[in-house]
Amino acid sequence: LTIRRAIPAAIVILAIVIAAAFALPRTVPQRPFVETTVWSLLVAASFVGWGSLVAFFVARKERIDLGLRMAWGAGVFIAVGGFMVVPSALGRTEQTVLVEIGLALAIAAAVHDRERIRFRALFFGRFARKEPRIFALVLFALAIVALHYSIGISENHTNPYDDDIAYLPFVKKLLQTGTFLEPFSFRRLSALGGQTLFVSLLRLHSAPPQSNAFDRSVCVLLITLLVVGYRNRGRRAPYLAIIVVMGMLFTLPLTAINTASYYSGVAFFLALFRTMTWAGARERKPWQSGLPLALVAATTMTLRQNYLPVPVFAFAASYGFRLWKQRSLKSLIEPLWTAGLTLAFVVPWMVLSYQSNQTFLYPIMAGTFNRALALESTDWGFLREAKLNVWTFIEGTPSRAVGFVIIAAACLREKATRRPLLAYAIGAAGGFAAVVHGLTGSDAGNIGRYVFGATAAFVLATVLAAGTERANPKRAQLALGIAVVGCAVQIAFEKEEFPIYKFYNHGFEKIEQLSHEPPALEHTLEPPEFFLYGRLQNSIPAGQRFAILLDEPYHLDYGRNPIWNIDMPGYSSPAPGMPFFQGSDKVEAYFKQIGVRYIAYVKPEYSRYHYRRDYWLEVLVDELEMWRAFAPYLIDFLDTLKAMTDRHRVLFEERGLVVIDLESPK
Amino acid sequence: LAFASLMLAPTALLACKKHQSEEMKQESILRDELKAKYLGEVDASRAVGVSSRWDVNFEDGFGKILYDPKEDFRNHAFRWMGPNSHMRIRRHGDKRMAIKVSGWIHLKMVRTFPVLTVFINGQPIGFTEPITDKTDGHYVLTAQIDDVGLFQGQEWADLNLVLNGAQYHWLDPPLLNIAIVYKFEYDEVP
Repeated sequence: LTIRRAIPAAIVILAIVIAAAFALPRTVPQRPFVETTVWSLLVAASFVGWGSLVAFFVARKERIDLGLRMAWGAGVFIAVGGFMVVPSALGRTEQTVLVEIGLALAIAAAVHDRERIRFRALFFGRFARKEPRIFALVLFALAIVALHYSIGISENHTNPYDDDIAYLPFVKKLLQTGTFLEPFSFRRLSALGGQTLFVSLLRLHSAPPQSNAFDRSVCVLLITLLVVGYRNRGRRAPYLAIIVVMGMLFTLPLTAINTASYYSGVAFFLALFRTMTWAGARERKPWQSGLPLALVAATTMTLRQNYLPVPVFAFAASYGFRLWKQRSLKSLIEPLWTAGLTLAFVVPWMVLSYQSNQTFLYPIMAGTFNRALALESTDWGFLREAKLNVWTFIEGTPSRAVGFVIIAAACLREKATRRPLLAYAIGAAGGFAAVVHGLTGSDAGNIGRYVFGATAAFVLATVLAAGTERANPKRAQLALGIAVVGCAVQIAFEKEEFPIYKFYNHGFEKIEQLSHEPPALEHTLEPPEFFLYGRLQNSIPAGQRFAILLDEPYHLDYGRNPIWNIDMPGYSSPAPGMPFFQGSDKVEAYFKQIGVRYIAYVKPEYSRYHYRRDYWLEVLVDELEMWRAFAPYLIDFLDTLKAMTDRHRVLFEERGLVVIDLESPK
Repeated sequence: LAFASLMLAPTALLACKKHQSEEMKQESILRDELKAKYLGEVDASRAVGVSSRWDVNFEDGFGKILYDPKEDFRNHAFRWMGPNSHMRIRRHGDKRMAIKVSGWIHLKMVRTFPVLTVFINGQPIGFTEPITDKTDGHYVLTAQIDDVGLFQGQEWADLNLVLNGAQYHWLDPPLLNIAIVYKFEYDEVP
């Protein structure tokens, strides 16, 4: 009888073991679609494993759902990863070992929770029998999630101005060298590195163009689990409300333009709200509540620099409410634990940022950033900032739903001392205002991508809170109704430029194409550029540092040479700062001063996108101030490269790719 | 009310006025000089005349920069403008400033001979004669800022180009396609 009761858990364990046996050995060629799908699920399971370990220590006797465990487990990757990346010990092997340990922990958790797994299996069986129509609807919703998951795995579009020149090379550099120091890179400066670590985990068993898999697959799964698993004092939100709100999320136009944080923002902001709700559900030892909060906050902060203010504002509000209610010095202990642990987990990433860009916290501390290229508008004031806030809200967020949801949130009377929803709303509003304030040289469409995560999570959080609030149930029902109507309105509203059918047509095409790709080991299907970049790199002696301005530097071997990616010339450079507009002699002297002898670059007339001189000439009169400001720097640097090439020996030249040796005159 | 206040407080706190440092201002000026040089080298200087720059910003009421023919930024650059088009101009210390706006009115569309007036912070400082078919609808509006008091002590001022003769379609005036500006000059008076 005991064995029979353990069958559901045994099936889970068997699935993990079989999947690991399929994906982990790198000797047998696998179909890319299957391999990456299985591997991504293993990474998710590994997160759950690490999260189960956290739950074991902080909430041994509580039921912590899969979504929270997964988010906490991802937080462990950030916490542990931070300590490993500083001494350059977070390469391919170390990352694989971290995932494997997580899988072992997941198996241990399945054994430990075998009764709960059995109970869940029985529950689903009963549910299917009692509510067959709702169950069918749930299955349909799960099919939609699976479809989105598969689209994320199969989407091979990476953009040539962020991903190809910076984000993908960061991932490869991290895997090959255990760290990623890029003093010239503005994109490196703009995030502490959490997203790069997560993308690199998936990259262990995927091709570079599949770098959307973490954000659009694993994080979509995490969001779903966080929504479905939400309980507030044992109460769950109505299924139909969950289906509507998830429907809204999936039908929103996908405005992400690169592999930087998008859905991961939604996932970890929602996890932040969920963990704040969990922490307030009962009083525990201060460190026990503080640890998961710190793990989720640290993860969120490392994903994008502009996510930083949200946890800060949210924690300040949450603990402020708690202090107001309790009015005792004792209530200060937990905030100190939370702040201390958050700092402890984030500090290694800040140290990494210092190693890379001489700043612990950009933009407060400029480091290698060129302040003359500030992202703020030169002509600014209160009304202009208010206008940009409103414009960003309307154009850059799911504003129809958010508008309703703000009303719904205002209707709610939260019983919990920490008021997690209000605290999170304050965090999200503070983060929104801070992002707009820091990017006044940009426009609503671009800023909208940065605030999407926090605002979408706010919608989800409000529906969950309204669906489970016990205090003043009439108000809660009204709030839930308003929020659900808001989500329905958002679903009904379709932007002309983003019709939903196009997204799904495109997605099915991508799945079909990737599933037709034959089994392969890494590199056997590499494009011709891979070999071209290999020949380029072979023209430079192994071990010698070189700087690059290339379209696809992710084809380079970062283990062979130390490489600095110049990325977007002008924004960032190591001290004393790269000179601009002063002639090529000074630039040459600068490179020699910082120990760069070789420079590899793509000629502007051959650049496939980002380094086309003619394109940047047109951008000189762009409507966006930040691009008008940047364009002269890039043009100047392209002209400088040409001038330096005229004076020095060319080691390599093929299809517009050039390597010059600054120590050898022509 | 408390909820709304908490939601709006961060914006109110952050939205304080920013001033560009002198060093950054000089860098902006240098960048604009280079912009003119680079575009001049490829015979695309006309775009400079209708682009925002360190001391001029095109705002509401103007369309984006377009080119005729449209494929190449080296061609004739222009912006559509509406009946009340807004710009921001920056003072050059206490220097007197000259403004010269060149453009064209689609007279067959407006069916009148309109007048274009330029305002600084709501004060009229210059206007054209009625724009007629004698010039094929082309106009040149010149004005001078002799009194920096018009800036009211601020670094930037509002400049409005008001075209009498088109009084409808207030939301997206450039779509009217009734008037264009193809050069905006803003220079210190020698």
